Amino acid sequence: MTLLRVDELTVRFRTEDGPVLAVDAASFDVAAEEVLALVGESGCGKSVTALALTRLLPRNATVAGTVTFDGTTLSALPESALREVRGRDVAYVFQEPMTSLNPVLTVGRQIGEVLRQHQKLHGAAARRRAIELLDLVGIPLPARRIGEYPHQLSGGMRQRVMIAMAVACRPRLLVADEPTTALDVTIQAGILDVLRDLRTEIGMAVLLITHDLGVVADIADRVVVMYAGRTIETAGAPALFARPSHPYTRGLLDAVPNPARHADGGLREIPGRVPVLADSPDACTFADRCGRADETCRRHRPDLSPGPAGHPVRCWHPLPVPEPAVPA
Amino acid sequence: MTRPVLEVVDLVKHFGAVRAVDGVSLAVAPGEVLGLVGESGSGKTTLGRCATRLVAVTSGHVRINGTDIAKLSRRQLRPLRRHFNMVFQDPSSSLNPRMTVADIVSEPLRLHRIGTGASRRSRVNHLLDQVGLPAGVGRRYPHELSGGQRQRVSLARALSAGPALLVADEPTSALDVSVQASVLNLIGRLQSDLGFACLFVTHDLASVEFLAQRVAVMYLGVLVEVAARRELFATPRHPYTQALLSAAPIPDPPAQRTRRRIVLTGDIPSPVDPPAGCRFHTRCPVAVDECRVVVPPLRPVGPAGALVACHLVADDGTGPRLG
Repeated sequence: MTLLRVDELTVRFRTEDGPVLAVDAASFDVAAEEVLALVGESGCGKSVTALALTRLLPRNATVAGTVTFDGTTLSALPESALREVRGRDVAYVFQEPMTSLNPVLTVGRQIGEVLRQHQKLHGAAARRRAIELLDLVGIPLPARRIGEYPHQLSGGMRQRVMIAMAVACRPRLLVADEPTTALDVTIQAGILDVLRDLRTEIGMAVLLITHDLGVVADIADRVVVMYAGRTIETAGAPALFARPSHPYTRGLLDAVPNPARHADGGLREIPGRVPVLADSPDACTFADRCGRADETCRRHRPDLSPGPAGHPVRCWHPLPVPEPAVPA
Repeated sequence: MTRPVLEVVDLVKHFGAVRAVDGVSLAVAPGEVLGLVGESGSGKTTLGRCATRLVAVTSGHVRINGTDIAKLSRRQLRPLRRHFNMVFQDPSSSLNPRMTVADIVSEPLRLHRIGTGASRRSRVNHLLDQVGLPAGVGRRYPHELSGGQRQRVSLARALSAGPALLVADEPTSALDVSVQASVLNLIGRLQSDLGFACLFVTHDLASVEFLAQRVAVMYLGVLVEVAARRELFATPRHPYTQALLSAAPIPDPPAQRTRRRIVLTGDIPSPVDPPAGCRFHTRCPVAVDECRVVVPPLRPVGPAGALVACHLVADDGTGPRLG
């Protein structure tokens, strides 16, 4: 069942240096209880896409396209109705928990606020539920922790508190924007486990925004790769890693140090840089950096259509499916 | 054995009550890349800054090519600084925004009075070429460059006076993966061309596995394991090393989803009041009574000379396998 459908989502910013096209007709969907990873490098539009779902963008942004959540067209809702959706049905977790938590309120007060706002829970009932939530995200001694302030917690514990607040109303979709990027790997492993458990316990889908292909390999069911504002490839996680069709996806995979892939050779580099675009060109936006590009790529915009590996790719000359390795 | 380029002995660095580095000894041989890995608060960055004397040392020795710089004054250090240099995580904050790239790269040459104006200019062009930047970049300012290009400028500056030691502190952590790859390749190429020794400080195990010949693992101010790269990644012996390696996800879904994982409970304790005995015992799944009381020394174990600080690892290198 499709929970979230994003159709031709386009986001433009007016800036002092002129217009910037941050998201260029991005289309994808998220199934119920699925972990979908939105992957790409800085400036590819993945975070803006996440914020645009519920119009959490600054005033200089203009948004076009449709976002449908569980049958409701979010893009048509007035702000007041959208506010109800945020927090209750669609919840967010960001990279840096310290900037999202209020430093002068205890953890319990902050979770209580969410419970009061969306579930009309007060007093002892709210306190009980807050303790339950901290326990749910794996915080030891939750009854003591609810009386503590954010600065008394470690980075990993703060992120668990943020997740507890986000899932307080049992959202159907959790949008997690680089939730483990600021954390150490041993702490990251625990947070990913919490997300995995919550998905089954609450039955929520997760839209995970990340640049880390290791995290994707760990937790994602499906992956959408973004480049220069466009969604360029989408596939099940194992298929994307084993049979990437877009040359950019392949480039990303080869750029990560991975002893299984490289032996003692060098890392593959992608020459050039990501373009910053004012307008959507009638061309492939990766053409200038791509070894396979020809005149077609420079003159015509590719569509997202089924590629040789069976999953959608936005490329005129997708990579052939690799031959299965012959066991030695 | 040849004399190490960098030799750190019993190094201690306290910031007030914070025991950031609490008795570390290690050496980097000529032409060697030693990867120093650890998580936030492990003291790895402080150790790198002590090795280049960007901070004063509380006690212990830092020898560079045999000269102990641990207690030298700024004035005494100045002429020695051409022998060692550092690159940092964020090149936009470590490059002077008001200097051109050519001036930034030639600054060490001017400070150390190396060469003439003309020879410095040709040296700068040669360096820019070596780090893969077009010659025209010399007239530009840092803000005109991308993050990857700025990190190349940092490398050119750090290497311009021909140091014997480069300390690189998370040089690729602020960069996107595709740019990271090109900077890692560059450091590897420069290191094999120029032959400097390198202390490569990072939290990123994959880049250490790519670049380093030996790896040192730090936890809460002390070393817990030092071994050749292949040995460390194939048979991590210290329980913390095992947990660290198992926690770093590998970009391969079938492999990642079937591997054994060790999830540590709790957080890294405060370096103000580190645990008695083995510092890892509060999070170690196999700790015994001895670990809570007696500090395990870093000692050689196994056939290949790995160093491990764990009571539970035997002299032949066998010990607890977690997961």
